[in-house]
Amino acid sequence: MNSGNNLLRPEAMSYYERILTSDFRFQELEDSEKKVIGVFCNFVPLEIIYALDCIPVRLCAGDFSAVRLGEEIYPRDICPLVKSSLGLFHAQEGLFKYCDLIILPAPCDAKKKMFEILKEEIPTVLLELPHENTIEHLGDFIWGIKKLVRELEKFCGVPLERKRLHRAIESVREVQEDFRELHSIRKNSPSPITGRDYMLVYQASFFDDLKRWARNTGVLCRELHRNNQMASKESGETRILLSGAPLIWPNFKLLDIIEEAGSKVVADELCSATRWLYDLVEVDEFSFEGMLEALCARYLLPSVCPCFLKSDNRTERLLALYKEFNCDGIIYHSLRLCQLHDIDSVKIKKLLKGKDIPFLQIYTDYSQEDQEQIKIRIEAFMEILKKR
Amino acid sequence: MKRPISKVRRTVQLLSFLLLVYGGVLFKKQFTVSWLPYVKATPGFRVAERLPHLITPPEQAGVFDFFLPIRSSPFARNTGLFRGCFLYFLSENITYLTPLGQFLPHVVFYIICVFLLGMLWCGWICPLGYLQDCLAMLRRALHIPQLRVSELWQKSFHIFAYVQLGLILIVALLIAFPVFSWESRKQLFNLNSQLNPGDYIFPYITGFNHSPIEIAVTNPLSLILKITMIVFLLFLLASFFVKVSYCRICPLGALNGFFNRGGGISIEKEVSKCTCCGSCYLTCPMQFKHIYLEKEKRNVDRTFCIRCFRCVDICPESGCLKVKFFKYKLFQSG
Repeated sequence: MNSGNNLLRPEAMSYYERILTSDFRFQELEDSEKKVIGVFCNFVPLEIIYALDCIPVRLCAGDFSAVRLGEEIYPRDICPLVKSSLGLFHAQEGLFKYCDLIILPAPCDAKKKMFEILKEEIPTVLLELPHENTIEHLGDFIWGIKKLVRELEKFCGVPLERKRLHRAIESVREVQEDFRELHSIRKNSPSPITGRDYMLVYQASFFDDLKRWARNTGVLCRELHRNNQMASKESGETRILLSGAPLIWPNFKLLDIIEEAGSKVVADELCSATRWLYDLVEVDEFSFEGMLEALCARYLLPSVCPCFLKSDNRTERLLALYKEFNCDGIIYHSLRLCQLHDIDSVKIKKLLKGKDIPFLQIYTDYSQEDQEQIKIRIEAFMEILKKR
Repeated sequence: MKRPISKVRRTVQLLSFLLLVYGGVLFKKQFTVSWLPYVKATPGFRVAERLPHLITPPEQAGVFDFFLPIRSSPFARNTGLFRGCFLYFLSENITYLTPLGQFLPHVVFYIICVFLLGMLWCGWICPLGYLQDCLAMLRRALHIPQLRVSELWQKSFHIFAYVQLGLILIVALLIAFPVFSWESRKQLFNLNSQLNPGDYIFPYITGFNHSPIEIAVTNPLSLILKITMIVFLLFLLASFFVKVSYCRICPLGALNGFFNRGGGISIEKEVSKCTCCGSCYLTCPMQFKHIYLEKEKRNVDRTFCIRCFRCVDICPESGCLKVKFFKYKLFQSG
């Protein structure tokens, strides 16, 4: 084991484990009188859902057993995330059981078609996305969001009020500020939190009560700061930047392998991790239109999703994170059958080669069978990193 | 969402508005500085002669005889701390063919002012800018969404500002060199003082109730004057819906803008920290996209940027945008 991993595992982690592994939160959702709205991806403004007094939960699934369920009904050659989600949906397991409505953005073909399947059985709203995430296309996205707001108002039976939206924006922002603190703690060398724990914390927020989550994250941050002060500053840890397709609990296979090989994931630009809460809503004017515009800008413009025409934003983020977090190498997670992430990797690979940044691409899906092969490749990559 | 820079700016704006418009009451007598001589108008162009039916205002306007790079009005009498608008000085003194010895010190003073602060004068000190911001604040309080003009209009506004600047100077020269008859030169003179919407507002809020509105109304040949008056007043009042609408066509802003690049104040962007969230564009009162689009260069100064630093204030990434005064960092984002 590497000296960087000698740090204590924070005690505050038990809260997140409880959220992710027990039925505790599910029970809460079941008992709650508020409507539960399931969302996919990272494009649905949570603030709007909170302002309508509903609970948003993120549905993107990482469950391998559900993939098989999905495969029984749908073609094998669609991405495991969608298959897993559909499998869970048909089994009515997990979060799907508690959802009253699903909002489905349409970044890729699989998700577009998933809408057709879902809407047969549950109220589902499709959120249309523009082809480019530039300021010129912001208007299109605002149009899509307005359509979504109308549908949600109809569903909830209450109008979206300006004051409530204002409050929701501010309360979500407070949560994000707590999260940003956790994010910046990872800049320390050695990083006081492992990538795996970070991801656990993070993905608990997908369906946890955000306020309670933020309180606990505050406690966790304080503990991490303490640990960080106690830790020796000489670290030989290999710092990894994780990029590519989303890794979703319980599919932490890649993370486990990387960290068991003696390195640490200190930064990521996955839409299932840092990108989910990182960007802040900066409202210029608190008129209804002004807030909606700021919300749309936050969800669309900084997005690094490969579904957009240009991936410049993504490559820039990647290079910036690499520098800022003082990383040693980049591992790119290619989810099998996710073409968008796959195609994006070509450009990224070329760019990183030019900059002489070590890069490893791992093709995998939710199954556990290829664990050994991935392990060998990652260990070899670690050797290269250590020799540099 | 704390906006510290905007708070500082609002305070500075309010203070400078009060000083520039009403600050004269603090002082009993007027100060003259020997190296910035008081410039007298040529007979025939004094306000008294232009408006013979009106009460003659005193010759000297402010307590200090300085012309600052801000848009105010020579008709705002007696109550201000400074004489105000440099563009007024420039056009009138070309008209009078003021000797260089009296003319140049004021120009040098202006150049020093704008070299140090650039268009910070517009965004932080100009009373006309503050009036427009007040209108925008009223709109915000009423929760009415802002309007934006299209890029083509925006470009034409900036061209219009340069056209005005050129026109003002050319007309001033035309008056100075007797090409036309005395009567038509007087009309041209009236036209030149008609281009500033401050002239329609400051006289009334400082208690001097005679302003170019009356020239426009009483002048027999005044159709053009009436039209210009209405156009410029509308531009000013449009700032209720469109942020700082007049600043987009302000000729003095165009002149100050030349010193925006390479002057004391600069905005720098740490490109690697930018997440392209577009907040800087969405908040920019001048609707500038260049800070959002910049991907390589550090320096993001631009002529016509009124230096409100709203982009720096709103930018969510710590240290992505910085305001510098020469080498010293004044503000930074995040």
